[in-house]
Amino acid sequence: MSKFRPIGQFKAAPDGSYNLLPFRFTELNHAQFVLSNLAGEYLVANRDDIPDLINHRLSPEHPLYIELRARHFLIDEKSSIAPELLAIKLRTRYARLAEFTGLHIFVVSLRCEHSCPYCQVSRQSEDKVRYDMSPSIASKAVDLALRSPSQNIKIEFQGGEPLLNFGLVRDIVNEAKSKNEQVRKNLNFVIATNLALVTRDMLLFCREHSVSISTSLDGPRDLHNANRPRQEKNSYEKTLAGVSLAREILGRDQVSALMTTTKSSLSRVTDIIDEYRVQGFSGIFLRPLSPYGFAVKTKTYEAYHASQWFEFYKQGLEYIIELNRAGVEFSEYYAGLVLKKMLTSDDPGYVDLMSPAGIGIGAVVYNYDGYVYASDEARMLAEMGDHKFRIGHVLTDDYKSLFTSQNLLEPLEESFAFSSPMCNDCAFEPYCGSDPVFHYGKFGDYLGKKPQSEFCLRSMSIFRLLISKMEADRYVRKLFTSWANR
Amino acid sequence: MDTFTAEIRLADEGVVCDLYFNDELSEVDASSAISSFRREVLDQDLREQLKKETEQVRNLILAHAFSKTGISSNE
Repeated sequence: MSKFRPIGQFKAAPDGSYNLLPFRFTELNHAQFVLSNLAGEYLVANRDDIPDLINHRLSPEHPLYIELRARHFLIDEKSSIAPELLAIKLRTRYARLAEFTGLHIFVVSLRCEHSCPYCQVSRQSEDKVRYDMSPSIASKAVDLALRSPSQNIKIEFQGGEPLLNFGLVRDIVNEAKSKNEQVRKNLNFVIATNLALVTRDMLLFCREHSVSISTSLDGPRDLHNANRPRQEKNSYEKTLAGVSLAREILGRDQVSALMTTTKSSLSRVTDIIDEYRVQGFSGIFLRPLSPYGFAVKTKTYEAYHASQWFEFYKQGLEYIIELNRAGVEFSEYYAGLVLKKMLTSDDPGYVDLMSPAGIGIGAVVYNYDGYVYASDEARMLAEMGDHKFRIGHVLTDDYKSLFTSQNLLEPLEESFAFSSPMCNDCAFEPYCGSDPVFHYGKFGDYLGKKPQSEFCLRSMSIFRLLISKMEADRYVRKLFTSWANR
Repeated sequence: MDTFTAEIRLADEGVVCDLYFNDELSEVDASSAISSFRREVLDQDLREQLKKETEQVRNLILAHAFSKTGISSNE
């Protein structure tokens, strides 16, 4: 794309032949390829048809030809407007990018009363108050969050366990809403909490200020409690009691849950999904472990390979599909994010699947000590002693200095997927992400070596799985389209 | 550097890369180290090439991402 061909190359050929528009192709299976255009629209073609297409030998009577023309893979005398339509779709796809940082994570405390071995943040024990965010740091962070050009700002409270510093959570909500009267953003709040310490008063505050709750539920009681130890060995009971109370006060749709996959989870995906159903959740986000914090220290991260996780995911997705087929509405949210990118011109802005990377652009983290990090994973890497992605401090750096930090700009540029070997000619690139923090943590550079990257292996496996399922089954195509358009 | 050091020089036949191994290695291990080095050279070469070729697209998209922040200026 750095050079332009003569304009005639993009005009409809007058003699009934066609010209190709830019696209990439990657193997789906031994007999088929996935083709994707610049806007991320895809088609599946038989392997044998690809050479004919590229060598301009594909007949207009071929069943594939009309699809290729309709989806802007080729242009002929009947489709002269295709380049303009492709450009519009591309602009739509990238429109959200200029909104810039929408997710602002406030780590209000590193204290926690759980001892989860996979914890990514090297939590501190409950009594170390010096690991709480101070009011002055919180106030500056609110200013920075509202300085973002994004019209939609989500402030997410994390920890440790943020309820251990609920007083500050309350102050931040009040201050943000007060300051927002000047800038008039769409302001949303969410608390990521284990719910073990939640009280009615806390939830009444949340209801008054439209603060929603995101908690952790790893599966049935035995699995959850094994994954998430508490001194009283009652994390599961505490979580469910908290969910029940939160739903009673806030409403069902204001309470969500996330699970983390450990080695113990791998053989239990249907149990985990059934637990979510029994507890009244309408979907689940099946996600793997990340290589940070206690997850590395306790070797929980290395307990399974990406291929094992993928089998877990595949089994889970197939189970959810069959539930839907039997009339039970239940979604898999990670698939929903990917499908939105595959089947619509919209981009969900999911930080882990963005290129340019979501660091800074999609999310930013204000740590309890005032240091600012380019992403949640960057903060976790810092807890392991590596401050590569630290972009400044709220008390000493202004907005410009934070977001022009070389610790942000360099990884953004270096990890750009379109400039990366293998990614550059991968048909799945429009759906994928860069994740410089992951690759830096694993390989020591922002790009990594894709053939060795678990991120790449995992992502491509999921893309192939979703497309294969849609191609093979009309019901699944319809179901996935409904997830994509949510 | 923990396995070998590389000395790169220009010669009539092109660029020559001499590898000096730190310790005595078996032929298999040496061969494996050389293969890794070749892959690394290829990877870095591709990165440079792609970085140059896609510079305009990359700059356009990154500029678009930062376009509303108000932190880029004509200074």
